[in-house]
Amino acid sequence: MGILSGLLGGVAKDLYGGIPQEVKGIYTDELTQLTSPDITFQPFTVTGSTGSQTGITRDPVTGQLSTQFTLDPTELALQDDLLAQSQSMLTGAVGDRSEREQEIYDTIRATQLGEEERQRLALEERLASQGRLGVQTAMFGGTPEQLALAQAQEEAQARASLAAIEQARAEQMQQAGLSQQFLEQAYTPQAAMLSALSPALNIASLEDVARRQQGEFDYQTQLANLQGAIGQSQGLADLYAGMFTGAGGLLSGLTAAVPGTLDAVANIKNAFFPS
Amino acid sequence: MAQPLQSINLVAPAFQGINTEDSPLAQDTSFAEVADNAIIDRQGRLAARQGNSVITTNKTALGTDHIHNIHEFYDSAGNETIFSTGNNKILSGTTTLTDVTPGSYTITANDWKIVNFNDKAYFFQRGYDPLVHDNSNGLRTFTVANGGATNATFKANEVLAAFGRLFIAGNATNDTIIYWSDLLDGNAFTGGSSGSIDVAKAWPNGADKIVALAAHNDFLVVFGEHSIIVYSGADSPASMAISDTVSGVGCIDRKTVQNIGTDLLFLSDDGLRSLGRVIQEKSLPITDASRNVKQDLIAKLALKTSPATSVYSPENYFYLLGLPDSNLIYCFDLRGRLENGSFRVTKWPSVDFKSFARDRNGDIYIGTVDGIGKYDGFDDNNSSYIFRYTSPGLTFGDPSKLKLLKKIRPTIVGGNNADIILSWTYDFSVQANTSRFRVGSSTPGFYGESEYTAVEFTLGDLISRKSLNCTGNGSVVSVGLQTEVNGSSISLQEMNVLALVGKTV
Repeated sequence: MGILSGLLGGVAKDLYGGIPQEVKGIYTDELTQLTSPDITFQPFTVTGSTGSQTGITRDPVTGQLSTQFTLDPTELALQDDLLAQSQSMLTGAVGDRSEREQEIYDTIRATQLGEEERQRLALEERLASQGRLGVQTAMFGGTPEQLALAQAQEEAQARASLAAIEQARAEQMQQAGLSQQFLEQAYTPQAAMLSALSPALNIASLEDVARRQQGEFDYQTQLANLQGAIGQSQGLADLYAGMFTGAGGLLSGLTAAVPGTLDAVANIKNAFFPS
Repeated sequence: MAQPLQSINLVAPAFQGINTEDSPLAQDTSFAEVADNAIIDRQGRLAARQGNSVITTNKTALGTDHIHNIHEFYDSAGNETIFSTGNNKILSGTTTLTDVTPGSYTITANDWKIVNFNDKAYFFQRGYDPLVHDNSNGLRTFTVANGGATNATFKANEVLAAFGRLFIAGNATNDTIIYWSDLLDGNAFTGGSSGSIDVAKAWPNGADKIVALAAHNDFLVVFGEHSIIVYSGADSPASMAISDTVSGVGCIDRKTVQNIGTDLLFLSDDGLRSLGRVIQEKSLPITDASRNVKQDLIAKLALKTSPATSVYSPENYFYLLGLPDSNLIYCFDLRGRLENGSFRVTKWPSVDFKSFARDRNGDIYIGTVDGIGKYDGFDDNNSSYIFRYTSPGLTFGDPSKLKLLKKIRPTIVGGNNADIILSWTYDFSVQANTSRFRVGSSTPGFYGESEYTAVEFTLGDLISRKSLNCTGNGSVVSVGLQTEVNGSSISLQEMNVLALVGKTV
């Protein structure tokens, strides 16, 4: 290579060697990686005043969100009781009434039997005093009084039977209502817990929005910083580009005047940009 | 020194009937120690009873048996039949006794009770299918009349027609249940308003059995052997109730119950009783209607094995109580009661009157082995009977002094040639002094009878006053009279006894 090439090569080598490390780093340093801010949903737990908790958690493996409702043990026990009662009432409400009717009938009759027995004994005494204990008639069976008493007792039994049916039916209705009521009441703690969740959700939502905004802000800040760095590097690069452009023009003129300049430039290039 | 004759004038002697209960010395002379075949006549005198005028001429169906029951059936149409029972048959008629026992109906006893009810006659005897008679169908069993077998519970011993029903009691197995028929239907003891009442728990003594039923003063009277239950409201039997009870007094024979209008008379085991009095007093001695012959009657009742019989005759003012076992009739005069509440009583001994009945006309039918007769005339089927009177002990006011009877002067009404035997005894001796005389001949004529209108008549009853001398002496004197009654009435109007009172013995 000629002298000019050597000269150019030396110039280039001097130029390259004179480039600040920062300019060099523009091309050699790894670019700053922007990290996206964490704006994912953050699980949280709401604890009610009674100790009940509603927790939203994420499965660490699958990332799936899930909600856990955890009642206070007292409330849980109450809920269990109410549900059990509701179940019991429901069973009664739809069950066979005959047994209950018989129980009610027996209860009603038990209240009547004493008086009926007193009336029977009184009639017996009256008939005995009248010498009529042994009366048998085709019309009445016994005496008219005995028939009347028997009729009264039969009517009382019939009324008791009807009353038992009505009472059993009313009880079933009542049981159905109570079952419904217990069922509703059983979920009252949970409803309260859910009620407590609503404001928490709002708060969480606010927090989420803030977090996302903060993330965006952070991202934009990082992006702006990056763009600023890029601008700096661009300016530096432009500076050095201008410098190399002037040097190139000079070199070109030299090349035209001095053969082998191109080779020198190529060497310069290689010096700058080794492959 | 001569003593004046003292006189005891027995006016209408024995007009208070027999008294065998009080001490002879303390007795009123108006009582009698003996008054056989006697009644108290309408003048209050001791008189001979009437006899049995037998009207049966054909008693083939009766055989050698006697008439056990007589009953007059009559209905609203005017039909009338006299039924009688005997020789294990149901007989009808009076002149000729016709066997009307239903065919294929076997009877082995004659203790029937027969009542009229609603144009029918009902026959009941314990263990036998009841019989019913009406003018259209004659005598039929319940089985035939009802078209079905009769329940054994209705084969009753006692029957009462009252309150529009039949009341029956006493079957082969039970003596405490009263069954009543449907209203106005004596055949129907089931259905309708029929019914029953067991009085086993109503006896005041705790236990008894029904002997007789009666209706009195709107009460149903249930006679047990030793107690009585009186039910009120029996017109509605299902509601009837005890009105009264009497314990210690009952009825021992259902055929002795007679309603005399104001009272019910019945035979108790200690004599004749009056229910009205029993209810009023509730005390046994006062109500003893046979108080004056109580011991005698009880002794006779002890011998009683066959049913007694009775009849009430308002025409004759008497209640006859027959004790066939003893061939004895007690005649209770019902004109009034004595101070002790009893009735005047006389006895008809040695009679074979086995049954009585009174028809609507007031005739008294008498059942004997000769068939059916009427209480009429003054002989028993053409046989005489003895009218006898004995006074209680007469002391002439001083039982401690000796009496020497001087004269007996009876005043006797009627008799018609009857031989009168006067008797007197001293100090209760069984050996009597007697004196006989015959009253005059006189057949009294009565208005409307043939002797009065056609043949002959007299001025009235023959009155005999015969004075007889007496002998002997003693401190207590009894006088008597007896005569054979054979076709003519006779009564003892008066007996005047004259005695000389001697020294103290």
